[in-house]
Amino acid sequence: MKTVLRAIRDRLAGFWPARGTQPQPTGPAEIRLHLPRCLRESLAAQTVPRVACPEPLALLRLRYAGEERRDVIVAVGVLPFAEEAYVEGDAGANFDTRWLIARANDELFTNCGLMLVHSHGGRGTPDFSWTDRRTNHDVMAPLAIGVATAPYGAMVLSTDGQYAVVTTSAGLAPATVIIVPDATTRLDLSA
Amino acid sequence: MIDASRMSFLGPGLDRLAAATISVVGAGGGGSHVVQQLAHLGVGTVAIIDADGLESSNVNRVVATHYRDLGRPKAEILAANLAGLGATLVPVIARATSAEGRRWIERSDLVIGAVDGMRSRDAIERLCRAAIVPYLDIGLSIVLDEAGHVAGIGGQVFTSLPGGPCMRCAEIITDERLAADREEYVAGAPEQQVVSMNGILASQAVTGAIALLTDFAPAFPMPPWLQYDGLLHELKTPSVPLLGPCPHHSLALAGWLVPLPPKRVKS
Ligand SMILES: [Zn+2]
Repeated sequence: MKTVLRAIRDRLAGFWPARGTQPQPTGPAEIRLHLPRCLRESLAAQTVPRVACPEPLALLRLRYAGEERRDVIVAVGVLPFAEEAYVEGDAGANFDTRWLIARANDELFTNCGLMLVHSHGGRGTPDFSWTDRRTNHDVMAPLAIGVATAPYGAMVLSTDGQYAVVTTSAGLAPATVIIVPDATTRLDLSA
Repeated sequence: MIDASRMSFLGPGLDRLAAATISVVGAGGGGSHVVQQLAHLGVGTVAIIDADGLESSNVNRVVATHYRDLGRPKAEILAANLAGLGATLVPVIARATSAEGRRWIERSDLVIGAVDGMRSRDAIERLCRAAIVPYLDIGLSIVLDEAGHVAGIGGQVFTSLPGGPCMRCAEIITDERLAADREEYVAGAPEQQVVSMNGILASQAVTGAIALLTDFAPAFPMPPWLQYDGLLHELKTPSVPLLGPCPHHSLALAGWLVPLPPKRVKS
């Protein structure tokens, strides 16, 4: 009986390969963004809506995980968005792009790129608005021009989810955000 | 068909395990237990990183291997012998610090290391800290006295999390040990009967990995350092707790840091 079962199993294996030792599919790898839990909490705290600013902004400092890699990005700190950087306008948050470019230039000295972050509230996986997409395309993507050593991007938060895009050689592409368990209570977040 | 998630104490965390990628560095006495358990748990993808082949002296402690497998890479043997349990097992026949090893470590949700020697341990922890990937390390050593009697059986399960204490903070890794890079098992006697003790450390590390990935009991985080005493039959937290933050692996310095030329100063 066992022999018969084994014969059937072996025959089936040809059509229906067992999950096991197959190599991973090749091709462009999914881009991962490793975001420590403490930084996710810091972003949430900094993007709580205010009367004066319905969609406050924050900046996430990013690096590539390693020299040869462009498909793993690590988040290494949060920069508060300065009050003086907000300007009048009709979007949820309007800001002075010169201020942002100056911060981006400062960060290059520590090999960091920047990710512009804001929140839409609600639950589940959020998405960028039409205005957000225009900002991502017109402001964030150009920061990467001529910079091969740091990634840039944008992220939108909900209360329990997030969606991010990062700069690649082919333009902005979605990144899978991995919230990494950390030693939150013992962290010193000063950069 | 029974819905496993309705029966599991892990609840929705079960889906997170099924989606996770875990790299196991070292497919020897400790790592083979780890791979076996991750396969049974149905972790999505398990990369088994080990460059070495199976020797006859390994079989007494490398689970899921047989004498008929002698000579083949250990990673390949484990991937083949533990296939079909629910995890996708990927043999990576390379060192952790090779391009292929680094690729898997950097793209993992968590790494478990069960390696001999301090240099390997140090290298894996550095890679994980740079890529912001949680690292769990297990190690076991046996000390014999001059008469050949067991004087001590010691080991550890160390959880190295971004921002938290590292193995240097715990003085598991020191400059002296790196220089000596002593082998974990008794020098000159590698055929130790340590399968049961490795099993204790591996089981605790896998339990810690499940807790980190699923958050099944967030009020009870695993201590960063568990010490094993095989003679006293104890797995315990050190009497002196580790206090952070870690001065060796700052979160702000994670990732690829290009050494920049000195800033030009206008005269
Ligand atoms: Zn440390």
